[in-house]
Amino acid sequence: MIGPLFRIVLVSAVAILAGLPLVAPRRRPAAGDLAAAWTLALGNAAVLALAAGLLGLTLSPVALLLLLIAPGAAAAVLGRGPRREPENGDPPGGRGGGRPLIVASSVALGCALAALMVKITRVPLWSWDHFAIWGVKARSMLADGHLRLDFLRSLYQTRTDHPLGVPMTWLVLTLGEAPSPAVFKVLHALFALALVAVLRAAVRRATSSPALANAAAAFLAVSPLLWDSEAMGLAEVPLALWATVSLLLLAADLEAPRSRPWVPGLALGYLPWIKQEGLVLGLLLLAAALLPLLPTLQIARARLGGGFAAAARLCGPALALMAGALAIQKLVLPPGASFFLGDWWRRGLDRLPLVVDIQRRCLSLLLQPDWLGFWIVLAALTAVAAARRQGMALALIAIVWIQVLVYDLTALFTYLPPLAHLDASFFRICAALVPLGLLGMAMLSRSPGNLAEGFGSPAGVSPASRSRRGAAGRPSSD
Amino acid sequence: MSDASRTLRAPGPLATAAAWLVSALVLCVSLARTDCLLRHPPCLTAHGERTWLRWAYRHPEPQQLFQRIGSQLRPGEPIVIVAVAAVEETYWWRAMASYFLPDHPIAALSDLDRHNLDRPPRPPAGGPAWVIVTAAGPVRVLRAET
Repeated sequence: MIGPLFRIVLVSAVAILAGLPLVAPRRRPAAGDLAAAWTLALGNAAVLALAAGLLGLTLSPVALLLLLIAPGAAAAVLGRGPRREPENGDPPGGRGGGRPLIVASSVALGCALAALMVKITRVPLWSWDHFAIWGVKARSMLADGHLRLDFLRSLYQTRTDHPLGVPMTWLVLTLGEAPSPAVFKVLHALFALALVAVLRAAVRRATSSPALANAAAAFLAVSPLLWDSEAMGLAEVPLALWATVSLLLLAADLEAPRSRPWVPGLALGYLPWIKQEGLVLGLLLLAAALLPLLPTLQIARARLGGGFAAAARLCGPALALMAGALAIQKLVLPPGASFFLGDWWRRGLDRLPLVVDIQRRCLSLLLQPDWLGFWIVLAALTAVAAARRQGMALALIAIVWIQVLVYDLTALFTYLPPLAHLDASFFRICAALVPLGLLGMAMLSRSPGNLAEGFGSPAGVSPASRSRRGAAGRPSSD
Repeated sequence: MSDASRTLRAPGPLATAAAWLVSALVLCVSLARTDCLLRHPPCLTAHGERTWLRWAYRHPEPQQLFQRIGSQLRPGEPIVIVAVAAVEETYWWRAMASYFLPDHPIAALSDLDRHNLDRPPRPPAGGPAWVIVTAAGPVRVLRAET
């Protein structure tokens, strides 16, 4: 156990150092920045490692470390990082409820994390999908440093076409050594802690309230995403992590004096490498990420080129990575049992009488006490967001509901019995949306503004004022 | 960013109340759950645990079981797993064997009659090793020449 732990610590340290030039160049990083740097560097390395492996290159420990370092080193050496970025937006303590609230929320966060760590320690690794889908790939896809995917064809009744990003990320962390169940628990704990840190940083950046940030992070730690041990060793936590990192990086980019939208683009593009539903989520988040540019485009019609250039630098890497994930799924992985197998359209039409039952089952799953009222509060605040026309908060909350609707409608067309399909996964996959919902709700604590207001754009620095500041209506970019 | 702009970003009383409420809720939930977890055995009552744990984790300690099996196998040796209800639980045995013993292809699964333990099956010559897993946990590996 010492050997694998040493590897994980070493790789994590290198990942943070490699990711910082991308995430927080030339400023003192906060915990959320460190977690985002770790996440982004690991995702980049996993993509590069899969590409190298498919090309037949050997993925030795040294090669994996080089792939981990390469993107950050390139950004540090070749990229023109900002001369001076503002600090991470954290205001001095004492704001947003006063010292007692900050202490209370910190205690709540500490207790929630302590309980989570106790649980991860005491609960065995048991989730079926870990053994049958995610874990088995991590344990078998690298042999003597060579990517080996032929074993997928011999797996029994499993989803062979699920993306390989998460198993490869685990393998990067262990430098290619097949993880044991104990190591999987360590990896799960790391991903969980990173997600908590990133959500805390994102809420703090969006609201300037350390208390609200602590409270949101604490709630995440007791939410089903992290508390339900069914998710241990699966891809829900990584999906939520990369989605939240992409939002944090988008926000940071909007505040940076020299914009680098391709950095959040890299995080968004990795979502389909994690899970298939990551494609829909990634595209929705990409669309939302373009919202802050819209007022700029309207205001500075003569500078459309600049706005489009920024959009292209965001969308380019994201869409290229998404295309890569789709290409691997279609061209490399053995075909799996797609939910849309056969005449799915006819199946959906035949099941129209079941729509009410399906909605009732979804509602029943979302109203389970495990959620601690999350979905009820989110529904109520959706109406508030719509009434107050808080653009980014509303967009983020809408993305959560659209994604839920996608999961809901999949049950109508799946080759599986629809209610059994929902019972099998709906609760778990909806849990991955909790961090986004929490961030959307937290953003509502800010005063209503225009379409782009609410995340990333500092109050008093509206998109209109940004358009006066930069040539393209945005901060200058590299 | 100026102090004035920071002040503009400060959350209002509703957000402050929400932070208090959520912190109190999380504190209570965490303490109650930790108390429950520290009992013997720990109570696992989350939704997925209530719904799927018994179904998915039907043989406790699968890691130890397959370590015992693996320690008796030769490198790359194909196996036939003989266990109680192995055919009925084909998906479990195949998934777990792929996970824990990726280098050992499963040739077949066979049910073990728990009343017939004193007369184990005889593997055919040149065929895969037969892994006999009794319900109590002991594992025996039989080969044609043994």
